[in-house]
Amino acid sequence: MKNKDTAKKKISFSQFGHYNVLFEYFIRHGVEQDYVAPPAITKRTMELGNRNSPDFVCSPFKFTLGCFLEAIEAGADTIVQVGGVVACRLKYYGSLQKKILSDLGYDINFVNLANADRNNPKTFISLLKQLNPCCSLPKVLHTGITVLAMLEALDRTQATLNKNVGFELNDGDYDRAFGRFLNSLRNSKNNVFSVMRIYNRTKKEMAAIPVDMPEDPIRIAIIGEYYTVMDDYSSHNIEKKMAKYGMCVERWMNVSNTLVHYSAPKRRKVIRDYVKYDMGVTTTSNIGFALDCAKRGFDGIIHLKSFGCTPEIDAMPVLRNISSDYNVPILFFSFDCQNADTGIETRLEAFYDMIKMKKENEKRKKK
Amino acid sequence: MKIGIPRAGMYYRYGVLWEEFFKALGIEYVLSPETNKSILEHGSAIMADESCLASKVYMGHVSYLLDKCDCLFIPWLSNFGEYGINCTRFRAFPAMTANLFRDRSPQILTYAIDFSGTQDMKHAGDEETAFLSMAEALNKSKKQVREAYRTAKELSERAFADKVKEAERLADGNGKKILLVGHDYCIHDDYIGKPILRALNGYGVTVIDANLTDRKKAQNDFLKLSDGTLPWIVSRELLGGIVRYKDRVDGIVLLTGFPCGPDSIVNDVIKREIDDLPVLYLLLDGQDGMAGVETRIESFIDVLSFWNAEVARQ
Repeated sequence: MKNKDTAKKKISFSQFGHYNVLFEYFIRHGVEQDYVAPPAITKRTMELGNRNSPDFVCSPFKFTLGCFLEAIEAGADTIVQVGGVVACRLKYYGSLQKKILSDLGYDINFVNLANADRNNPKTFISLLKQLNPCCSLPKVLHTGITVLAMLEALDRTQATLNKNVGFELNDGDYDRAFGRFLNSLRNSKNNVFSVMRIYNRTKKEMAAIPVDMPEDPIRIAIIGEYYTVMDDYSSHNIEKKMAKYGMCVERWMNVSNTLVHYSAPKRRKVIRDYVKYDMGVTTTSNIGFALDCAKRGFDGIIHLKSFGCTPEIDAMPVLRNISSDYNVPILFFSFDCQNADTGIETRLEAFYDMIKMKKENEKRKKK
Repeated sequence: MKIGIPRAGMYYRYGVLWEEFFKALGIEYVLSPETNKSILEHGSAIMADESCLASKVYMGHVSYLLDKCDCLFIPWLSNFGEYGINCTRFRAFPAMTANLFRDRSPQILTYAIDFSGTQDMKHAGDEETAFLSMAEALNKSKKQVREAYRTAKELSERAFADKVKEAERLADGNGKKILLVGHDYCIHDDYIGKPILRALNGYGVTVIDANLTDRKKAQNDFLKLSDGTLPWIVSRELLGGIVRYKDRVDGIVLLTGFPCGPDSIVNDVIKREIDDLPVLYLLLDGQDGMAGVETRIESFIDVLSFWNAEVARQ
């Protein structure tokens, strides 16, 4: 039998955009345990998640459960699920997923961050202790700061990529630079300066990539439900598809913007003409960003969510009003673990054609 | 000023409080009729397809009331502190109404329940403070509003306690008993849940409403079926109701309007936790025909008698 003190836990978290790089870094260097990467999401992940989830629960539940099951197959013995700050179903994901995994006969540690209470720091420490009973708090804090810097760097780099990738002259330049960036983050030294160096290097590298940016590109804002907008598999790689059409994509919603830079009262003030009474969760930030983009003269808005996402459905009537007030077309997508991309591509293509025609008509009128 | 109260959503929880409050202040109000086909159709037409049944019903009532009153009464019920939160949809109703019916420029009277303290809403806080915030809009003094609120609150609590007592009496009675678990705006809606109640009663079964349990006690009871991360106040009370009545009934019927967010998870928890009673899970989506539902209820009643015989044999 392994000595309890030396045997490291094998911790895993579900796939979520590119944020696993940060989670991995935090687990390896802060909590000082092993990390098991969940295999990339595939059709099988989705089917595993689907089979064991309630019927009409929102799809992030199914995706994360599928990831957990595959991570356990890959050797994970500890699973972390989020759920701290939000007030939607996500808060209760962990509780049921823990039950499902134990009903399936898996004997694993399930660390549910929904147990954290913002007003009680002790709850965070007790969660940390579940990951590593003898973890060093200074080390965790130090790594936490490095990871925060990484978060900022990652989100900014992703935003640069989204804006330009559609216009690169040599296919794959941006993706290659981004891949190198992620790799450097993984191997970065545990301090903010190293992260900044990596970020600046990538920034220079990306700026040097030859692009053919038209004077007035088609600018599209992406808004929607937290998980779906940020996870490429869940959103059917919609950002890449849009880039292929030569759209300049702007997405405000990412982890650093929502958790670090976000001020709900400020956004509430911005949208007061539409929403006097806050609708909760991500609606305020999404409506605020949509309104901002409409005012800045964007050519279109794409709204992504998983089927049945309550807060995002609530936001739809407001988005429709913004769309008609500012004459900005808006396209709603609702995903629920379907496999085929064809329907999505067809709708996206029609949306693109419509916007292109609208733009040309407006130009002609101006002349 | 004539106030319109939609007979939907949280009306089934706070109806007595609201009506008695306006009565005590001498303010005229109009209550929309029981849900019918036309109301649901109006709601479905204006709401996104994938919205939950309860919200389609709600907006149907709002649409009905719009030209029959001066002001719609749509409270903003969000966060009840340690007792849990409401489904975000109830928090969205005021803003949704304003946006969905913008061309009919609805006037909205509201009060806000939000203990989270993270909101910058002016009238956030406990229920009495929240009611007091309506004084200006209602053109009444704070004193009048406070008195009216207190009278109404007492009446509504008494009415609820009486209902709980009656449910307890039914649970202690003889005969076949079924625990009906569902949001009260589904169970007691004339178009959604009532037909099912009637069908169950038609088989001579006593139906007990899981909502009718001491709400404070339920906050502890639910921990027997779930951990403390269950966020929704109503779901907590329903689980509390199950814990309270489970040993005195022969079966459980889960009634859910498609696609209810909280229920999508909570129902699965219930099914995994209850292994000593037959559970029927009815998912409704405003269908017209009752035949399918009736067949399932009939076979469930049959299951109940087999189950009893099986238990007796063991």
